[in-house]
Amino acid sequence: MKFNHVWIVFKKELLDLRRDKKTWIASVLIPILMIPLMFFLMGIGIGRMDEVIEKATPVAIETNEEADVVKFLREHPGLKIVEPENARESLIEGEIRAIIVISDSFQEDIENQVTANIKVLFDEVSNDSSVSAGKVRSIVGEYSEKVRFKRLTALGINPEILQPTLVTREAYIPEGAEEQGAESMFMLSFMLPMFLLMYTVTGGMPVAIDLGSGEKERMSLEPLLSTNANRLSILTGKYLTILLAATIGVVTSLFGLTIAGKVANEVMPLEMNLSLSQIGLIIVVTLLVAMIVSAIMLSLSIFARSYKEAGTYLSPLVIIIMLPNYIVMFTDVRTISTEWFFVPVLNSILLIKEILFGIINPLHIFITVAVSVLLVVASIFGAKYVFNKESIIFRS
Amino acid sequence: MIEVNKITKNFKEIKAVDKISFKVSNGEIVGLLGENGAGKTTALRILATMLKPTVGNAVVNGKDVVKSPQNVRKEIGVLFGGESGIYDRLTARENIRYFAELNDMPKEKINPRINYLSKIFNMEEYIDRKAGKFSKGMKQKVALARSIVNDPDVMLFDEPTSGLDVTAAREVHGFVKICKEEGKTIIFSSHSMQEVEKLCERVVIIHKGKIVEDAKLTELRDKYDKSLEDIFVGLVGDRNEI
Repeated sequence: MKFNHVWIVFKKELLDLRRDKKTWIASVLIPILMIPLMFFLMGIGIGRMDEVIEKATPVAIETNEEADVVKFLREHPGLKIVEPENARESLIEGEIRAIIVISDSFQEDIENQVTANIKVLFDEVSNDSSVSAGKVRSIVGEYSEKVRFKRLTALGINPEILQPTLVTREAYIPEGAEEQGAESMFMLSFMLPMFLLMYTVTGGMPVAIDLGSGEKERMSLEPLLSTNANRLSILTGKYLTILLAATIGVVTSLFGLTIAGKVANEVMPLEMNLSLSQIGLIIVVTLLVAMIVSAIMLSLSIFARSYKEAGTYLSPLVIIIMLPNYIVMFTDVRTISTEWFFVPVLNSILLIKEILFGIINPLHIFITVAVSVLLVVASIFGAKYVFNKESIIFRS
Repeated sequence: MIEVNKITKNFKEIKAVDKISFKVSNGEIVGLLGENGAGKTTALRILATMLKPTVGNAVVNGKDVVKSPQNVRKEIGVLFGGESGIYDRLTARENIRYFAELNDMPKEKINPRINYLSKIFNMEEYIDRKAGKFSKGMKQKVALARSIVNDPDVMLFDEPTSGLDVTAAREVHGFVKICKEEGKTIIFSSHSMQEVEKLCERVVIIHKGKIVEDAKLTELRDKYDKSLEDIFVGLVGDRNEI
C-alpha cells in the first residue's frame, strides 16, 4: 500500500463528496432539521396532553337525582359540566370528553354506607377522552376520600388509622458520587446510543454506495484499477472517505440532539454531568462502530452490481443497527451481566448507557473495545477480500 | 512489445479464453476482432492486470502481468468504450489530473501535460467545467486524455467507439492514429470490421475464447480473397454452425 495513493484517492473522494449536494442534504441538513423538529413536535403533543389534564374537562352527568356527588363534581375546578341534548352523540363528536353515569341509588347507597356506583363512559377511539376518563376517576376518588374522612370522623376515629404507612422515594447517592439525574435520563440513554449508531450508517451509506457500486455503474472502476495505485491503496482511500462521512453523520446527529435539547427540553432533557474522559470514551466507542459499519457498507457496495442493488443491501443495516438498542431499552445497567459485552454493537450501546449513568466498569470497557477492535480488523479484511475477488469486482 | 503465451481464463466452468497466444511488436497496431462474448475483454483485462490468468502468462514490455502487475500498469494506458467512466462532479481537468497523480506523474508535469492534451483534443473550452453536463463525445475525449496522460508505451482499447456517434468515433480514430504516430504499441479490440480495417495492420480474430486467425490484413486478403467482413463471418459463422 502506498500512502501517497491513499491520500490521492481520499482527496479526490472528498472533493467529489463536497460537491455532492444530495449527500449533504441527506447526511447533514436533514438530521440537523429533522431531529429537533421531531422532538419539538413530540413536545407539542405532550404539551397538548398536559393541557387536556390541566384545563377544565367538558363532561356530562347522567343522573336521576341530585346527589351530593353531583354538587361536588359541578363545583370541581377540573371539570366543566355541560348538558347536551344527546350526551352520547356529543361524546362521539368530541364535544364532551366523558359521561359520568351516576346510579339511581347513589345517594341512598352512600347514606347506607354500601358501595355506591359511578360509571365513566369514554370514547375508546379518542386519546383525549381516554385521558379525561382517568382524570374523572381521580376526581371521583377525591369525593370518596372526603366521604371516608367524614364517616371516620363521625365514628370518632382518626382517619389516619387507615393510612398505616407513608412511603417516600429518594435516590441513594453513594458517598463521593454525584447525582446523575438518572431517572430523567431514561429518554436520553435510549436516544443517544440510537442516534449515534444509526447515523454511522445513514451518514456513510450514500457515500459507500457511490464509492463501491457507483464506480461499477459509471464504469470508472476498470480505468481506476489499471492505474499504478494498487487495490489496497484505492480501497483504503475509499474506506477513509466513508468513515469520514459516517463521522460527519454522527456529529451532525449530536448537533441535532443538542438543538432538540434546547427546543424541547421537557422531552429531551440534556442536563448531563459527563467528564471529558467519559465523553472521550463515548466518542471512541462510536468511532469503533463507525469503522466496522463503514467497512461492511463498502464490502456490500462493492459486491452489488448497481446503485439500486447496493441500496437494497445497505438499507436494512439501519434497522439492524437499531435493533440492539430496543433489546437493551429496559436493561438494568447496574446489574447487567458481563457476557452481554461480548456481543458486538450491543456492547457499545450498553457501554454508552453505563457511561451516561456514571458507571465506569473497566472490564466492560476493555471487553467492548477489544471486541470492537477485532471486528474492525475482521471487517476491513473482509472488504479487502471482496475488493480483490475478481468474480465480485467484475460481477455482471 | 506484448507477448501472450497460452493464456486460459476460467470463470467457474466457462472458459472465457482458451490457450490464446499472440504477439504485438513495438509500434504495431493489432486489431482484436470477435463477436460479443468472444473473450476480447477478458484478454484485455488480463493484459491490464485486472484479471489473473488461470493458466499461462503474458509479458508487456518485458514485465510479467502475474509476477509484476504494478510494473505492467506503468507501461499501459487503457480505454474502454460505452460509458466512459468519468466523474461527473469533477471538472475535465480534475478527472485527468486524478489519473495522472495515481500514475505517479511528477506534479510539475501534470498541468502542462493536461494543457497539451486539452489542446490536441480541442477541449480547451470546457477543460475546467464539471463533466456532469458533457455530451458522450466530450466525455469520451476526457477519457482519451486520461488514458494517455502519463504517456504510456502500450495502449489497450476495448471497443472504444461503442455507443458513440460518428463524430465522436472519428475523434477516437484520430486519437489512435496519434498514438500510432507516437510509436505506441496498440491492441484495438472491436467488432467493427471497418474500424479495424481503417486503423490496424494486423488482426487477431478470437471466437469462443480461441484464436481462429492471426495475420496481417494484406495476408488475409491474399489468403481468402474476400473482404475482412466476409473472412470474419466465414471463420466465425462456420464455427457457430459446428
